[in-house]
Amino acid sequence: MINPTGMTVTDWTDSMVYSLEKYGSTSRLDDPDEWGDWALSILSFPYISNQNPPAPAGYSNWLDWAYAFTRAVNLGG
Amino acid sequence: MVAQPYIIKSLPGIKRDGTRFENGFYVDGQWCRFQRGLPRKMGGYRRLSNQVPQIARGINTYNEASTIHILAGSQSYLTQFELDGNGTLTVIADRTPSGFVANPTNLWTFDSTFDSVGVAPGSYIICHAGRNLAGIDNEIKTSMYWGLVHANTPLVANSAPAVSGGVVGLYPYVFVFGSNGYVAWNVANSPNDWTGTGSGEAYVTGEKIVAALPLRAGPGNAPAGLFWSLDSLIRATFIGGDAVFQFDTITSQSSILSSQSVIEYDGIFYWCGVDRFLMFNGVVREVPNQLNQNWFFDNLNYDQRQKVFAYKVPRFGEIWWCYPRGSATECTHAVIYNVRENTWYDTVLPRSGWSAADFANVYEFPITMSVDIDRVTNQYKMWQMEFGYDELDGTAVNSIPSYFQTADISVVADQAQPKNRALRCSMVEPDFVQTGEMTCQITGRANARSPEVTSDEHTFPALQDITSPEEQVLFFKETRREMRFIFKSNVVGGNYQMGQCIAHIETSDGTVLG
Repeated sequence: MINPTGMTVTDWTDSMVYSLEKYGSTSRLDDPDEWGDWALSILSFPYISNQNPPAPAGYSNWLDWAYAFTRAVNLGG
Repeated sequence: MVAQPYIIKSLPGIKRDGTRFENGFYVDGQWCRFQRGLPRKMGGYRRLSNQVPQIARGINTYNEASTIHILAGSQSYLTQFELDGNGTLTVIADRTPSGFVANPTNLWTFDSTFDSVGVAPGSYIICHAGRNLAGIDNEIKTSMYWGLVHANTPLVANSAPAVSGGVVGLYPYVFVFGSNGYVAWNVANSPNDWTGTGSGEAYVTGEKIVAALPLRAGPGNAPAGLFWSLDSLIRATFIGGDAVFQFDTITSQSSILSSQSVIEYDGIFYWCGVDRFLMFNGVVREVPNQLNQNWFFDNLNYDQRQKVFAYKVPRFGEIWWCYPRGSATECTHAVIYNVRENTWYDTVLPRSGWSAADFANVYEFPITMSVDIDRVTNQYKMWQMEFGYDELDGTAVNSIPSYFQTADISVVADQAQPKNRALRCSMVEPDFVQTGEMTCQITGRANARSPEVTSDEHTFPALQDITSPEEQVLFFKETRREMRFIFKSNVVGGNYQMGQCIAHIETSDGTVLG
């Protein structure tokens, strides 16, 4: 999983496409303020939702959520 | 009114698009880059060889056993230059394949691969000279050539299918690609076996594939690669089985200006489209450019579009796109995207320009190939970039002119407190990491449509060369309603990194016309 440290939210979501695509179709995040919607879209993938991922609503910024997500979810390499 | 200190500082980058007055970026510069948001002179360069037989149309660098093998392809030749770790040229070898057909439109692609099953296992250079220099969509098919990296003998034809595009190594496979979206790959680890089990071919899109690079892939899906066709971006992913590779279209609404315009920087791919700069980082995005997009696309010589090439200077976070400007038929200028600073600037290339360049990875200095003929050898020159501060052309040491010009300083357009007043500058306190003397000029105008008036050059020495207190600062008596500063270095050994320069400025009269 790609560590989001030092990345912008769009850089991180772009680079996560590689890892997520085998579990579902991801959209391109264009507005950084809408990171929560992007997060919800990938939490809807069954493989990911089964791992009890963190909900974005509990985080005020994307980076904290991304850290929690990378700790909670195993994308199988 | 008492003069107030003003920090001479603009936003990093050189803005060419739009008017000079409507921006906070530097407005002009030459051989100047940005680091930590501040301008500094680019590095010098030294001649590695003046025995490149023709203008290089593609180069490749390969490092092995403390030797850098540089292959330069031209219309008639494939020449290998070998450098030791100190950058000293040790060998020049003609590796032109036997029976190679010279053609002025030959444009080379290179890569390397490993052969573990052939009669001479080892690392091999693979290359292809497509007839693509005059037309990116050319359909003439030509052969791929290969040969051991560390040898000096001519390359030989490989049994790969002839193609019009080029070649790329996706270890342990080699791909050739060309017209009608055609790709073919060999048997893994066997670069001369294109018919055995594991090899294959496919038509993966409608238009010609013109460029390709390796792409990272997850376990079980490696290797992977990206293929740029004239209108789309295709990803190849290893899946094994009978199909071996899977191809999926990432976008069918892309474009590419030149087959040499694609470059990878830290796992992200950047390239020139026909009307914008693009990148791929999992998804395709436009690279924002508000500084010189029009400057580039409005002045590019489209007839010579295939000569546009990209190379990188990772030390400073830079991607250079070199291009023929105006009526030039070789690359005379470059626009530079600084990934680290997230800004753009540009420069005129040295002398008559360059035709190819590469960053050698193990060797920290990029290699460039110029289009100037050496008067002694009547051949062309190869340069090592980012070396010292000067141009070292054999025994000749030449200064490299470098300058930058700040954005306008004006109280007329002050957002908070606009005043209809000119500014008078009485003193400048230069602050530079500096070697060799520099000059400062004040330029500007009364309004955006009045003539530019530029002061004389005021010279200031480097810190260690100051002999009297008066040399610590510069004294001016210049008044402009829109005022800019030009700092310049053009002496042998000259170098600079700007710090926090201070201008002593007071408001003056309100004369609008100039």
